[in-house]
Amino acid sequence: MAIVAAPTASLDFTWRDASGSVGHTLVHIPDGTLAAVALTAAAALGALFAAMSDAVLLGYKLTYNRVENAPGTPVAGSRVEEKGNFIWTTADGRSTRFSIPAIKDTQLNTSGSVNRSAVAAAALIAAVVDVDAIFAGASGSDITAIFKAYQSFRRSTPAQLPTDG
Amino acid sequence: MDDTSSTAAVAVNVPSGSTLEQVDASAVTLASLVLPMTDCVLVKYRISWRFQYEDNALPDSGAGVAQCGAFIFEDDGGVTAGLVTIPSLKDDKLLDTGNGAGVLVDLADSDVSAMITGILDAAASNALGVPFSQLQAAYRQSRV
Repeated sequence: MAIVAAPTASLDFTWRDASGSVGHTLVHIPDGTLAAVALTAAAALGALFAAMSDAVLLGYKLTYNRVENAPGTPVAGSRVEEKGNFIWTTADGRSTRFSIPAIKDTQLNTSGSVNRSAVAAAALIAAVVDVDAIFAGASGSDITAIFKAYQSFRRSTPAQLPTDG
Repeated sequence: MDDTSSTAAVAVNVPSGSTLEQVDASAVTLASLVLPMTDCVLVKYRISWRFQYEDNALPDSGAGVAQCGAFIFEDDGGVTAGLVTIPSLKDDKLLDTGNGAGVLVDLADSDVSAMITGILDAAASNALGVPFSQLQAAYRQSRV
């Protein structure tokens, strides 16, 4: 098992026309392109594209893709709808969150809260709040502490329902 | 990915000024910490930077996004390599006389030539990494 890079990164420009409909322009660039170089190119391309179109350019997204070339087998009965929610406080006094799908029961207390003393949970929390880590809230402010951590269940989407039911 | 092949993501923010190397390393670290906590397996991850233009009011009129400019590029062997589409291509970027009037892109237009040069200067390629060498064809196409 190994994480491998896709051959290219992508620049996805998003447009909106007079009717409110949204369209995209997709440009691939070599994966080895530095992000700073790619973003400079994106800004330049955006200006060039805008001169060609009646639509307005809303923004763009630079994405690098990494793929596990030999993923293992999920644990039987695992469901992504079962979440381990982690809510964090940030240095600017706001909060941010992420969730871990199909969280293991071994990481939970009987109440459904995350057992912050469990080895894996403690390691995750320590790593995320580490001052040297780059993990941040949406504002870019550093994550400084865990606020809440608990299990919850999300409603299944139609695509997640069993196909043999 | 879970036992039913459904997928879900762990989405984490990082400062936009971070380098790809920093983010990539942090993503690998985070994955190694999350994997012991989940019954799912890791199949992929993405690193993205998003930018939003401040001036993005709806245009008053003009072509719909389905009326695209299709710019087809070829590799250095003359083989078709890939496509770049521009939604809502302006009418004045098309030839207005002769064969292909109203359909073919006017390659003599300064905005058109600047855009093509910009795409090639950006080392654009297709998704497999085959680099674009030059423009092969450009025309208006409805892409619904």
